[in-house]
Amino acid sequence: MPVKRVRHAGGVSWVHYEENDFGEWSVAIEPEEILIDTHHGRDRPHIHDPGDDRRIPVRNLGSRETLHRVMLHLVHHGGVNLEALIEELGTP
Amino acid sequence: MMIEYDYTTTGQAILSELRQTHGSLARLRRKVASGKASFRERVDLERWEVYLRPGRAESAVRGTRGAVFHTADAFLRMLTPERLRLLNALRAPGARYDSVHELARALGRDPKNVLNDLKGLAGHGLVVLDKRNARRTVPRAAVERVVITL
Repeated sequence: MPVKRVRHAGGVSWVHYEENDFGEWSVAIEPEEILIDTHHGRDRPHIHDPGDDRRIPVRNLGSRETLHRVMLHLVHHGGVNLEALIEELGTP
Repeated sequence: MMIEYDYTTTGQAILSELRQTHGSLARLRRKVASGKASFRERVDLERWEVYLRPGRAESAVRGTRGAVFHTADAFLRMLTPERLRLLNALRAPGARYDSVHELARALGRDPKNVLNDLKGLAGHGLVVLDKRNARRTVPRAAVERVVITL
């Protein structure tokens, strides 16, 4: 059963991306509280879902592409559909 | 509807911002360990530990914040015409305001209302409020590029 969370803070979802010169990057989604990062500099990005203890590896699309895919996902689904997001970002 | 805005900063500026927000690394670690930390606090702890690594404080950092508005009302509540006017004033070429009062005078607005709007924009990372002392706060735009997609 797909997991769909549609939690808005006043009808807005925020996505925050940050990348430094060392190639360490992260994409965080609020208020759905999903973090996608390179996990302290390891090559493979993971989705961290605080809803459980899962860390799900996803393809390294690069920070910018991941950011835009997440934003389009939020527009399309009206929130986070975690299983669909994992499928969209792809498993390595 | 989406808006995206870019900014650049440094590892050192991030560390200063984290210290200002959370006090100390030890305090933030305790809060996260207690299980009572918010998502933002947990993400900030990860960021803090990353930027303490060798070389990270001197590194350039590129960031983007994106807001996805699920309703038109949500967009209009965040970016009111007055807030847009305020942001444009801060981003105008050569613009520099040494206090909230100075900015309010330039806009012909009540300083209290300008400060409320600035705090709203600062909460979304669009402006920075640099509190110089108890009586003076210097507002500046925090972003370089804003893209709105309908």
